[in-house]
Amino acid sequence: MSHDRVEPYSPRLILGLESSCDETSVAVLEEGRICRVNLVSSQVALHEKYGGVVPEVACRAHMEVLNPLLQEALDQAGTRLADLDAVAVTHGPGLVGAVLLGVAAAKTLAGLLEIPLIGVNHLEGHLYSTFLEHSDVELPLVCLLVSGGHTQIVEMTTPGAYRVLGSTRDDAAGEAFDKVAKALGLGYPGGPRVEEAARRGDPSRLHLPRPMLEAGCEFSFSGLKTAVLVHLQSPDRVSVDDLCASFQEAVVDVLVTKTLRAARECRARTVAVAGGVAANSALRHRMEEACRKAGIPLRSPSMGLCTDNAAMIARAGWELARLGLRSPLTLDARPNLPLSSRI
Amino acid sequence: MSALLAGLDCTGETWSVALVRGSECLAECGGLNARAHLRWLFPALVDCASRSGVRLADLESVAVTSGPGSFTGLRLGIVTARTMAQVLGCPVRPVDTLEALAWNVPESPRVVAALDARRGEVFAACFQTGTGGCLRLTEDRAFTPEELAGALESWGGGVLVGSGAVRYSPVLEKVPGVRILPPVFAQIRASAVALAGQRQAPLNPLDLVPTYLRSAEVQLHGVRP
Ligand SMILES: [Zn+2]
Repeated sequence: MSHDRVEPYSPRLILGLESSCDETSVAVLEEGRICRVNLVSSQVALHEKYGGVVPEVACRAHMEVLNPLLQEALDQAGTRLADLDAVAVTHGPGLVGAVLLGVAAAKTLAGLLEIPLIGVNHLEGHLYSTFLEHSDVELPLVCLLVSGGHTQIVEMTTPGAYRVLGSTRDDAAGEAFDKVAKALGLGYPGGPRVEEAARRGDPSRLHLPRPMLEAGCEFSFSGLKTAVLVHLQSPDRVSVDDLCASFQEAVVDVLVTKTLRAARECRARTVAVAGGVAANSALRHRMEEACRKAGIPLRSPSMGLCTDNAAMIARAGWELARLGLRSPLTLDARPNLPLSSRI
Repeated sequence: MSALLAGLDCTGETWSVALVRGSECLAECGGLNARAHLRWLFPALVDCASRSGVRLADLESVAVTSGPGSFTGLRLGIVTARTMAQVLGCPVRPVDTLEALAWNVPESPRVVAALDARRGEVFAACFQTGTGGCLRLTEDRAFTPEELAGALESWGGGVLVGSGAVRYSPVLEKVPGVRILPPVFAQIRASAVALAGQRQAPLNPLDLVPTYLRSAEVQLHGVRP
């Protein structure tokens, strides 16, 4: 069991810890709203030479920075450990050796300080990231969670009630960006590199498939990636910039179309896009346009809160506390933890 | 009253926690199964404290095996120890994993502690043990079983203890003067970690670094440097 039911509570100062992939992050959140500090130590530079996240390299880096970052976060927040009222931590999904370091620190803190421990699903964290900056998020919310590891559309009807409307059957959208960038020799991380090239290119130069555009909320990006690779072998190749623009256009088309369809079907009162790929400006613009046309407010987190961070974990922990949930000190890391409803 | 120390180890297939005061072990708890390390390590320590009637807040320091060993377990122990020390405002005391293992063989002129390092290697070092504790005779290093057999021959044999000794016993037991202890002695006891820790200089928790004895690249490509 990862949670016990207790009387609902509302921690004033909550510490958030995140270490599920390639960023280590520590945040202190006050009253569920005021982010006193949200420090993120990114490992992107470390993984660049490997062209992807290497688990052992990631875990070594997490271990090195976790405790110093905690100290720095407390100093910057002007908080002593004894002032904390709860600890929220990502306990999955993610790289098991990385997730467990955050969980180990969190349970030690919670146990010694005698405060509640709250295990948070990383995806749940992304879902709540939008609430950190917007106080006017009306439910139901339909959120596109899109990153290097995930692509799914989730509906939230009340806090803690989530329904996964669809997810990817193969590659995540961010993964497709990385693979295409690699094939084009653009380097790692692929998202920003492809986006930069796409800005100079013409998206109408090459028509690429929009996989499963008509089929519900399920995604598939591996066919699109293959189409790019096949085109690279053809004699009448378009330029790298045009190819990036055409590829990005196809991905964005699929993401926007499906998110809006889900929003209409769920009668959503808010749409959000969260996760690392949400930082892609083409996606942001197209989603804004589509939401404006549909008359549904778009409330996405700002760039800094799209990528992995501990403030969103603290916020999700605060919501779980108010639902009367806390985790036992036997909390485990769950590398494949699915997103499931809390109520 | 002598100082209260906690000992932690989860660098191998087993995990162990203990509370030690002076030369006495107040409580010790452990288990088999590397996949349960995270689940039980800290709760078991809380349990040890309540069963022995001491408060973790009174710890003078936290001793932890700092490697070599399973990378994931090594990091888990270190982050737990560092975080405990950060909260309690106390130092940590790193203990070499092979030395902690050698403590399982009291009073021997030559103990060879050998951990299974996977990838066809063992991490091993040679110690002399006695009532005063453990004296190191060689540095920790990675060996293939054949290399270790060669080293054992040059050392004139010894008592072998640890998962590496058990796994490669067919190769190692051929060396004259070698005796291999059964698997039950291959389990590191956290009480030994705490007792060995008493002799280690206290360290700021943020200065505690693991001894991997293998680069992350080797883990990635599976080749020796
Ligand atoms: Zn994420």
